[in-house]
Amino acid sequence: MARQKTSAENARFWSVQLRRFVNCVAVLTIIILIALIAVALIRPDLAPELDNNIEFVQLSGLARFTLLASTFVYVAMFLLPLWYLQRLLGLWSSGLLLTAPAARDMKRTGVTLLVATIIEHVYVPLSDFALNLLQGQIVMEVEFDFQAMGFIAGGILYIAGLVMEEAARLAEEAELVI
Amino acid sequence: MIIVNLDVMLAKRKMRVGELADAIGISLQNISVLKTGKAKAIRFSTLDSICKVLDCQPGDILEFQPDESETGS
Repeated sequence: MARQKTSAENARFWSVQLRRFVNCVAVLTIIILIALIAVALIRPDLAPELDNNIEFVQLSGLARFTLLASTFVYVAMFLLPLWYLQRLLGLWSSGLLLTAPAARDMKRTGVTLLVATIIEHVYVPLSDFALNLLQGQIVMEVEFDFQAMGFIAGGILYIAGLVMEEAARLAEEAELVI
Repeated sequence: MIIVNLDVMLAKRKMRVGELADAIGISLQNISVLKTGKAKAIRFSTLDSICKVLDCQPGDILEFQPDESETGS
């Protein structure tokens, strides 16, 4: 009869699987982002239509560059939590479950997710305002589209990181109990 | 602070550290942690095993020494 895996072994196994998935998502996002930016630069007529029915080709060079750069930064804000998450999963898949570095990476994942969620709420109205301004209209549309899950997930991860810091301290102390 | 005088008892019983580690079922590294005073605590079960193997009392291997800061006062 096969031995049942311990929680630690299960944690290592699922960390490996999830890390692979997170890496795939991050790599795909980067590839798609680079492809879209390349298309927008090389063939602006093929670029997707922006909000407010503005065609990308209608924008000036500076406006195009600003829009692409801000999109890049916007996507990067969501890649940063994925970066810290894959670092955390890397530590867990190596068996370093309750350690100070793992606690640190968990807190950073939470904080960066919170920041990304805040920016998401601010970026869309601001970019719409900028696009309207380009059309000579001073209009700012404010939608109430509150993404609570992002705040909750980021907050929970940060708090879990604090709890894990204490767990890591206790685990270190327990190692010195002979 | 508590000093662990394993070396003295090991010498009396003519036993090596490795033999003690094997006899009580803990690693050489943990014995070293104990000997060098880096251990935070010792389980009663470990103390029991050490005393059985070395045929001694806990007081033979554990000694209290006041900290230097306390002796100054």
